[in-house]
Amino acid sequence: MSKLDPRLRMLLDAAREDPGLADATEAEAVPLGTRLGWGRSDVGPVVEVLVEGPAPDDLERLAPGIEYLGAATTSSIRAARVPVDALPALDDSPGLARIEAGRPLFAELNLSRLDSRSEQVHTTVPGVLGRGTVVAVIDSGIDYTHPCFRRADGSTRIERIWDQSAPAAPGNGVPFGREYTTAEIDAALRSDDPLARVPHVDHDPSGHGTHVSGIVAADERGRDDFTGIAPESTLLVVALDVGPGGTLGSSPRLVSALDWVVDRARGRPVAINISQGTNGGGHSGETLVERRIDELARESSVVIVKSAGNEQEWDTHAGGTLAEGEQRALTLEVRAGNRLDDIVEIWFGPDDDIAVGVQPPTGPPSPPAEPGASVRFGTETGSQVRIDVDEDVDGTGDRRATVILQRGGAAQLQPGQWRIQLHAGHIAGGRYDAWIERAPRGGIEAPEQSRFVAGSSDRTRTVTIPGTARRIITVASHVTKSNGLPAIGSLSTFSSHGPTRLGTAKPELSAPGEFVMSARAGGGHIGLSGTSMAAPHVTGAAALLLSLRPELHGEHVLQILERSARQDARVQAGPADGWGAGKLDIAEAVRLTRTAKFPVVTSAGVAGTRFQARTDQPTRLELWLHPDPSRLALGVAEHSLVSAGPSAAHEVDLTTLAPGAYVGELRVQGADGWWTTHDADGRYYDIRVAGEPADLERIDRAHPAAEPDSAARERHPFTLVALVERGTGRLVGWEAADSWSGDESLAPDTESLVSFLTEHARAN
Amino acid sequence: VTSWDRKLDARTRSTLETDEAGGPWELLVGLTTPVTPDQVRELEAAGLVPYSRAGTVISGRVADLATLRRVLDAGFVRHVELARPLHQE
Repeated sequence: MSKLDPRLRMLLDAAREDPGLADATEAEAVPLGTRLGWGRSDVGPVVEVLVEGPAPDDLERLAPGIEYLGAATTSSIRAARVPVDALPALDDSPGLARIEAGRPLFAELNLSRLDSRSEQVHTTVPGVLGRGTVVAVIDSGIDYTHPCFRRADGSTRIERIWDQSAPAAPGNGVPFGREYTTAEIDAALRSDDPLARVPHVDHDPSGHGTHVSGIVAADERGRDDFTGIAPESTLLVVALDVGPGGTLGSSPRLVSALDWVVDRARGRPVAINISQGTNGGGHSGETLVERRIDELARESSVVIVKSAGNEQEWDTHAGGTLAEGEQRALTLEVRAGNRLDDIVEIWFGPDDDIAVGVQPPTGPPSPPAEPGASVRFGTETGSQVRIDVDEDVDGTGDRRATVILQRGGAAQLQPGQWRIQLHAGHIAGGRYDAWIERAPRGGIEAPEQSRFVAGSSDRTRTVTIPGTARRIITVASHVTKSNGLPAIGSLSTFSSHGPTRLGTAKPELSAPGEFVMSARAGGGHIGLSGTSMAAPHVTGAAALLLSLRPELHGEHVLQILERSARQDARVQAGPADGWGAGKLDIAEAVRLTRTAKFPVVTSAGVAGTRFQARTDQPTRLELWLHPDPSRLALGVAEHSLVSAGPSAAHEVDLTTLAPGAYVGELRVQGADGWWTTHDADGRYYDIRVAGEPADLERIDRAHPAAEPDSAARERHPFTLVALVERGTGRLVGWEAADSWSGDESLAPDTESLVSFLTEHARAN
Repeated sequence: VTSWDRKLDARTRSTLETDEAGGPWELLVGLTTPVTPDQVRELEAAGLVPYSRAGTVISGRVADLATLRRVLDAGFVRHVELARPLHQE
């Protein structure tokens, strides 16, 4: 099947039939010439195209004389002007996914605004345009000189830019890089040479951050057609480092950016856009960056939005269920030329004993690594393999095997099919999920990105981190502009699917993400594709809703967006794990925002053997409980007690629970279905049910200072009290207190716990 | 396996073993409870250069392995992740 779109095929046919066409200088003389960006250059006739495919080096080899439009992008889609006679070679290249003819720049963001139904709320009187809100774009930076980020008088709409890779300025108020204020940006804009005063440019060659910012907040009313979703909002911009292969920032710098944004917003409603991600982690909110996102997004007036990811066709996830005693191999293809490390994480439940080994493409396999163990070995070609099977990962109770493949002293990682061998012992649940870490990619055939082969690959659970955080709003992409495949209105083929590893629905909804026209760094406009482009539509929408109801929480905005999402025939055809609730419908979301009445918990707490709560309206109450706060933080409840209501005063009987210590979180739901969660300001409700379970044993130990060289620990020997399962000795809960002060707020370190358990095991 | 190893994920342990430069490293520090000013001071005294200091996750930088070990020794530090690159989508 040709990778050239029908317009380009028609052009080639016409050129073959009419050799004189090559000399045509007037676009009108060429079939569809004006629409194809036909022109002449030193190498002959050229056309403007969008190419999805290989690394720049390959593209230049296949199409000598290629000219990038703007700058070469680090994404897999590039805008370029190519010689017409190079089109057949491009068509034959296995590294190319497709080549699309250039199109005249009609109002494509306008098109996506129509699809998202923001036009209706922009044009009402008074319009809903985001006034009074802050939108924050954490990305590659911004072309602050672009007219769409300036007011009619030429002043900037950007309140601050934190350029994280700029040279540090002492006393500048940021821990690294440089922060620029409105005053500095305005002074620069008034000068003859703005970049001499504020030397910030979009760090990405394709202008990723500028484009995303334009979708959220560009204001071109009365001037051009590419106004964004919230054109009267104020911008905060964080420019992350841009590296080769589309690398955009890192987890610590993202966390620092998020905290900076919330600090600089200073209590004003803020919608934050994140259009970058990765594959490493448990995909249910376990990573530290996701934990911080969930802490920030539980606050009133803070909404955080994230692209779902473009992993759907990269085969980076494998998953399934193992039976007791079963062995299974997950096969991944390592391509020739991969000079990077490959990291594969395999996650499974706390009570599943699964050993993990590796069979390289040639030579003997590694010994299997049992839970709690680490194995290293070298292959016959020099590649190095490390397997670690960690328990109670990040406090979640779950187990994670990490397989790291390194090229060692060899020029590349050993190419071929590697098999990760799963050896199931005792199995309680048996579910496993494996992800290959995202690599910097030079193009669609990037050798750096290893993939699971058919039979191992599972195209669910491909949403990228931090999009699996509990309180983040994760956005899929659908098509509003197409040349035939995929059809307009359909889900983008690249758009990542949910659910999370633990089964929570993700993404939440979809927005336009293919060839969206928006601001171009350097001036003008450009079309880019990806869930990166879908997310800012929702970020802008969140700003509009917050402009009407600044007090809303992220979970309230999420409910409105989900309930208002449009369910057309394509959405109803599924898959639900790809679409979420449906297509963004801003007009309906605004309508619901004006009327939605979210319940408020006015008091709550334990009274004897009952949990009591009051709400400001009749509600139904659910009390979610888990012995482990880390687990509850992921949205996992071991018990759910219900007060069906509807009532404004609830009592839940706690004596139905097995004796033990729990933490609790409330969800109250009004008669019209709107709900609010309540978790005692993130501390959870402490619920203790008296009595000793029959199958549990209570053990008391005074634990001495564990490490003589640790002064800190010597100050705090602990008394530990643990509940363990009779027979197995499995730890199910513990409490600690400072032996000297009795302070129960101090937690023992892992060493103390391990030592305690070892002592216990010896005693038994 | 030492006590501080248990507060690290496998990829961090691998990096610490193979990074010939021996630092510096940017990282995220996960705490058992929301960070207090005293805890920030304790981590700074250990050598952490904090970038953010709110909630149960703080970001920052350590110069070398010895500094990282001092950070990990703090009883209120639950676990540490070295920086992971993110990718535009």
